[in-house]
Amino acid sequence: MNNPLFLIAGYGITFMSIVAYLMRLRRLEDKARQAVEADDGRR
Amino acid sequence: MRAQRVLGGLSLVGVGLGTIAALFLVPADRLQGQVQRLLYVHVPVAWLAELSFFVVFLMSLLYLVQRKLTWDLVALAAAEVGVLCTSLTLILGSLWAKPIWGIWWTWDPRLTTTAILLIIYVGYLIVRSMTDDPDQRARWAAVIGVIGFVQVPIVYLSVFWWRSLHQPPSSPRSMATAFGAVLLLNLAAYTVAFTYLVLRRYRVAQINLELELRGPEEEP
Repeated sequence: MNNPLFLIAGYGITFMSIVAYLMRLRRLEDKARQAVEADDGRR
Repeated sequence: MRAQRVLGGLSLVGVGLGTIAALFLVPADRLQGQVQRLLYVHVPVAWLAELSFFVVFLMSLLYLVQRKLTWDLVALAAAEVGVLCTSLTLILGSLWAKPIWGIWWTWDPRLTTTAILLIIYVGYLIVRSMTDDPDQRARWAAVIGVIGFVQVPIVYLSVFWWRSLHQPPSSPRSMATAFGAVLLLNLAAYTVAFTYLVLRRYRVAQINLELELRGPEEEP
């Protein structure tokens, strides 16, 4: 019950998931910004 | 944009402090030992999973009444973060269950209803990707957002309705002051982080919708 691996795994997975989601948001924001610039350039 | 940055900073500080308090300041549980510290993240993400699907429900209702696509975008943002939180709830629960119950997973009412909840909202996101028409997409999603919410009270009440291996809901009031205070701190910190993630996702969705509504450029 005192095996710290479960605790490390739990907190590790939580923080890694949040960071992965933040990276997804950054990717989506970049893509959206590029799409707006491309669209403005065409018009 | 400034509010978003402030929320981001607050989230980082809050979750950081909450984690330090949970891992180093509060004593370990007498019976469960160190692994009980998972409570300080398992309960907040479970609470946020339920909160996000309540937001989806509310925004879906508003969309069905007013037909404003803004509500649909908030629902999308909340559903995405909700799926993340529900997945984390199940993973953290499993990591807690192994040393305490001796098993990674069992078809217990609380666990099973939570897994069904996850499937409903993954389905919600899949249905959204099935059409390019913003109004049709919002309509289909809103119907699932309203009907799917029925599962949330079922998850909450499952530990009372059926004989469950899972303990009744934990809250800052159901435990000793030191444990309760740290749980409250983490609940607040993760709720701020949730607001930050939903806001950022909403902003991207808003830009994408504007682009969709502009439509293809007309030939001169």
